[in-house]
Amino acid sequence: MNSMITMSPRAIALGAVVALATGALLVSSVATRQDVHAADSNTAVPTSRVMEATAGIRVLSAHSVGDGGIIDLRYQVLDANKASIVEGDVTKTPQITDVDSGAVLHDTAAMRHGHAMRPAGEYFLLYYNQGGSVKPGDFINVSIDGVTLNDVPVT
Amino acid sequence: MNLRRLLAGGLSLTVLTGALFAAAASPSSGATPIAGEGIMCEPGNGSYTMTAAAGRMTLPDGNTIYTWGYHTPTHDFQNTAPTLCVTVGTPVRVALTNNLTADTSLMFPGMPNVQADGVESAPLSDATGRVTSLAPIAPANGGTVTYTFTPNKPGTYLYESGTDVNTQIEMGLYGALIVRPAASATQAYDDPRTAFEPNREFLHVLSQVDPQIHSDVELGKPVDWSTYSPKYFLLNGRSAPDTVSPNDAAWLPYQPYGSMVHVRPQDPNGGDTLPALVRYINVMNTDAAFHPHGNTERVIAEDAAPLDSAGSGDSSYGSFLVDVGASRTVDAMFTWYDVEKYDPVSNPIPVALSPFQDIILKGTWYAMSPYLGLQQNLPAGITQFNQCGEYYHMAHNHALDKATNYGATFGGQMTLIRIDPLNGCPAK
Amino acid sequence: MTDDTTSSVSPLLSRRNFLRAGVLGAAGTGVAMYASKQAPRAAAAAPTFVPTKTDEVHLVGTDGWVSMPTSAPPVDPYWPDSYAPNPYNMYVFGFRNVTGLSDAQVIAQRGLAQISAPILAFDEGSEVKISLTNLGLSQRPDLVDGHTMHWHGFNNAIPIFDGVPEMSASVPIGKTMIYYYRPHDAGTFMYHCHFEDVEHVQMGMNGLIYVRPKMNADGNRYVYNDARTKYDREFPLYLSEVQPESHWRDAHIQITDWASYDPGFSLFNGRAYPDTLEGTFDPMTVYPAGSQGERLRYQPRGSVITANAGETILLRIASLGYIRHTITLDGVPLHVVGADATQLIGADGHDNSYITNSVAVGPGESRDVLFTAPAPGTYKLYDRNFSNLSNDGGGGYGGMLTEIRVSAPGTLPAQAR
Repeated sequence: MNSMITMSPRAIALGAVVALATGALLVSSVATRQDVHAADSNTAVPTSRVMEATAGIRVLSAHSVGDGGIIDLRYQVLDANKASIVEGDVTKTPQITDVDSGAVLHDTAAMRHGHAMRPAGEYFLLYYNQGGSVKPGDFINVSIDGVTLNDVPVT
Repeated sequence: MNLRRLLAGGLSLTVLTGALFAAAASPSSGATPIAGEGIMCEPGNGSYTMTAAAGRMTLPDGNTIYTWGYHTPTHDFQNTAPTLCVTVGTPVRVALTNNLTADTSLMFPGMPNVQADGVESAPLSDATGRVTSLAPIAPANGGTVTYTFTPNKPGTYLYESGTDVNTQIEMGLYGALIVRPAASATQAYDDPRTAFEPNREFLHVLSQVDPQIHSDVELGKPVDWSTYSPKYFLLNGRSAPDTVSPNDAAWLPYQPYGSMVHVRPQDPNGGDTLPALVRYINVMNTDAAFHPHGNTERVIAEDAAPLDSAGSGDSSYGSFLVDVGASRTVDAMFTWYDVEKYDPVSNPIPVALSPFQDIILKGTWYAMSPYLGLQQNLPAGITQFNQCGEYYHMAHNHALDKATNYGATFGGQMTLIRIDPLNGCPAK
Repeated sequence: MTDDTTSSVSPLLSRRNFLRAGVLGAAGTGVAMYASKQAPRAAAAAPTFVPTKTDEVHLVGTDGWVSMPTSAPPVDPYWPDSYAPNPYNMYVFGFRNVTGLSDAQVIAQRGLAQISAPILAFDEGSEVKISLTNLGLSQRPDLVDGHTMHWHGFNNAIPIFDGVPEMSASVPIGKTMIYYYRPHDAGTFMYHCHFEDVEHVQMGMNGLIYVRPKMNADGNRYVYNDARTKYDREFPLYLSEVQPESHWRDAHIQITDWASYDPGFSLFNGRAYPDTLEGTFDPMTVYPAGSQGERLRYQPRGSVITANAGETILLRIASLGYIRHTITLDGVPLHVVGADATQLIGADGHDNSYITNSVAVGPGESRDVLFTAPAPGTYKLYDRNFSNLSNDGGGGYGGMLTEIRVSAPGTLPAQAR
């Protein structure tokens, strides 16, 4: 029916990031915080081959929304079976840690988006930003099932 | 980031810096504008240079859709079209350049005596007398036309393409025209009872997208309306949860308008003292029933006609489902009262909280304090879960098939209503 | 199943400092304005909230099987569903009212959902505790869906009791949560599960809530606190649609594309005509094999409206379908006095009620409609959108159609309150 599913600019940009990062394989976090400046919309989102292999997802972005009260984490499903833990197993909901403040967010407004995830589909988790602790410009670490992706920029 | 937009608007440095991101650190006071929130009027003071162009929009599921839109020099492309905020009695001029490969035009239903290049804007016909456009056109591939009019009645209006309307409106050629009364920019109408809390003015433009139509148009194939089946349902050109991202979010460069409604409780001891105004516009070809959670809204006007005309009784009405007919507009007032004033110490919620704690400990999707503004004196086992104890309610189309993203729940025509504590959300 | 189902109502904490003065809002400033719904100001004058009474209700959420009219043409493979146990033909999710049942009885209702949901009726100014237990889905043990109670239209709601999982909490399988409300406004409301709402509402977790006005204390019956809304008898006319394909897909572990919504049956009170004319049954009663009671006990409510000529009848019309309906009662003027649980009066008290021959009800909307029972006889009440008058595209009449049966004055006893 739908002939219009194409890669979003976000996904294309990420593909480029993946290509750049192929030198650093099989460590839980392949990207590092690039400099001490605040994250902005030009800051690349790091990728984790381990997270992609174990949780079946690739983190796409983290945004501060709802006048700063909510952190909107987007991810792409690479392996629908593995990714089902993200929202299907409440004990394995990804946890957000603010790199500077150490604040931890784990309370999501998550709800499964239908009963099955679509490979290559993009999905979201909304986190209540406890105490307003994650701000635009911060970097966060995203952990799921023992694997951490460091230094995801928040815009 | 749409720097040109900000420069073109001559906005203050404060707004410039604040608009870059959601204003997480700003106090949320009713008197203070919250950067990136609420209705975002196009700069121009009644004079606009508009281009019809093709571009792309993104959806929360990762899909990218070929679409058409109107934009001014403040954006490279956009959907929904620029929100034009004008004033009764002040002339309006819209100069349209058509960069599409099809003829197009602009209609301003409800505006008096609209002129196109100085002559009456009337439907065009071919040699046999058949209508070819509902308004004089800007020809394809660079044609221009300039529309002028002077609004004479305040209210919420829909402006849209007048050419090949079914396809062009589906493709994205529509926007909001807000006419303010001459007396006050913080009243919806001349009646002082239509005053709203400053900076608590919100816009909900409801539209929908059938990706197949957009694909056919992009590929130059004939459009088959007999199989029309919209899959995305938009609020101000975005689909939930993008709807709660701020205005001009960098990650949504072509969909600049958020739609979160943000208030404080109505209370004599602080909070808001006037209602919020929500302006609804339904661009879809079907009626919409939009459901604000949290409280019943009071509908004060339909199709820019106030429901309290001089000399007759007040016919405004309360509604927990705001009916917005196809191509119609509705203005509604939203307030929220902290009726029970629950407090974890002095006035706890009168049912045992243990089930909630049980739910928390066992791990599920419980994520918010039940108490508004809860910041201290928390009973054992209760922690603060959100920014400053604010509440979030949903607001969504109650034709629930339209609260989805290509069939996936928690999407589509859905946004949030955020209720801050009485004294706002303090800077962190 | 855990023991949590048995501890559904926990002891109350002592209550202190209830509703206090101070919610007057801007109305107290002397500046008239249009506000949306406020709580009644009378309550605010009292130093403490004194409920007229306390209502405790225990609901369960689960799945089950119901029967659409068997005369409808089959739509292979979706309807009748091959998994359905005799005499049923469609898979549903639903609520059941298990107030007062033993623990064993409550647990035994797993897999025995009803549509539409049990009607809940409360008094304005009372306190309401609704315990919701999630019994899980007998047909789909693979699913871990939560359930919630969303009181649709409750004014000045707080998120914890609004039942939106993304905003507060949902009730996991085997757990119970107590929802607490103080209804301050009379009218016709609805409730539904808000967990994956497009699915759970379509599957049947939706129904009516009445809030009766304080003015009923005078012994009469009113829709709102206004003598002009007095009535003699009331009837629910609860509108919904079902899309058999979605129900089949849920039973058969498949996914529905909700954006292609196209319902097959349109229902009054959970049944399609001619089942709307059948009596009211009880899901806890065992009826003889082959009887209508056996087939319809999980769609317990009939829709026949009975009255004596000259009486004032209240129809509480509400819809949690996804499309608009236009209800008409041939030849009988309908007086719409309330919409969305709000009396049709302006901010200045101006009477905005209206007389019509057809009442439009959109998704999630309610209408309070009075009419005077005409001369004795039988009258048809139906949806004027005639596409909702067939069952699954078949010939003949079906869907949203029922009868008003009027007797001579004095024939029927007064309706029980």
